[in-house]
Amino acid sequence: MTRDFNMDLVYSGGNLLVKLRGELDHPAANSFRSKIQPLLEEGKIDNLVINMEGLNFIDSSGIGVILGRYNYLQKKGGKVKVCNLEPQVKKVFDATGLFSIIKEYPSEKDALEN
Amino acid sequence: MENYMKLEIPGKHQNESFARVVVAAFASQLDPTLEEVNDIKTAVSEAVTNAIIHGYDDKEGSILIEGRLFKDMIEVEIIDFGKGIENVEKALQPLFTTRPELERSGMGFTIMEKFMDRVEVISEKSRGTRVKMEKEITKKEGYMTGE
Repeated sequence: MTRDFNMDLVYSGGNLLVKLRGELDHPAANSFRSKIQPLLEEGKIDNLVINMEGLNFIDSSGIGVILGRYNYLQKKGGKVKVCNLEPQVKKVFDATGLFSIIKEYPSEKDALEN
Repeated sequence: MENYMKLEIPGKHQNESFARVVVAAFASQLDPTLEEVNDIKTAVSEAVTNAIIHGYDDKEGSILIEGRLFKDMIEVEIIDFGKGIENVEKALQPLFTTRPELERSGMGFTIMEKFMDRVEVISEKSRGTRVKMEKEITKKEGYMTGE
């Protein structure tokens, strides 16, 4: 885990809720992938919900790792959902077109329940 | 030109956030908005990551970061001496990546072009790549350049 990046994981129904804090750049994206992908491959998770409330930075490496999880889950009929995006993160999602395939929910509760 | 900086760092992953912070601190002399600082940090992050992953294929290599401040504009150059880009025009296309196995989104240059005002890429095979970016910083009312 890099010093400027933290992840908390919570299982909720068929969802894996990941709370991110710090910066999701290239080294952090590698940490994210190595932690999350094995859990998805266990087959017990339907959807990945990412609460980005404390995430103050993302770049295209972070976009890539989220897109990779989307591609993996989509084949199994699952979804990736995000909530609580900070301005810089929203701007990068917009610039890369990620909102066209990953939906932003108004709250963590909405993302988990829908 | 009102100020300049030159920094040389090894292409290590832990230096990516350091590079962002250094350029942001340098840019702060122009009193940018938070959004402008974040735009610059994001573009620098893309260029430095490209130098490490693509320029040097994740092996050791030196990266130069140069910054120049003008009255209302910052110029940043990220320079590597790695393998160079074979086809710059192709590389600039959104979603194009030579490393799909690494889950690269191929959006690095797209982000640089959207977040900065001008991006120039000069590259030579086996000699390296120079990414030069400029961003105009909005003048704010009552801002004093002050000595």
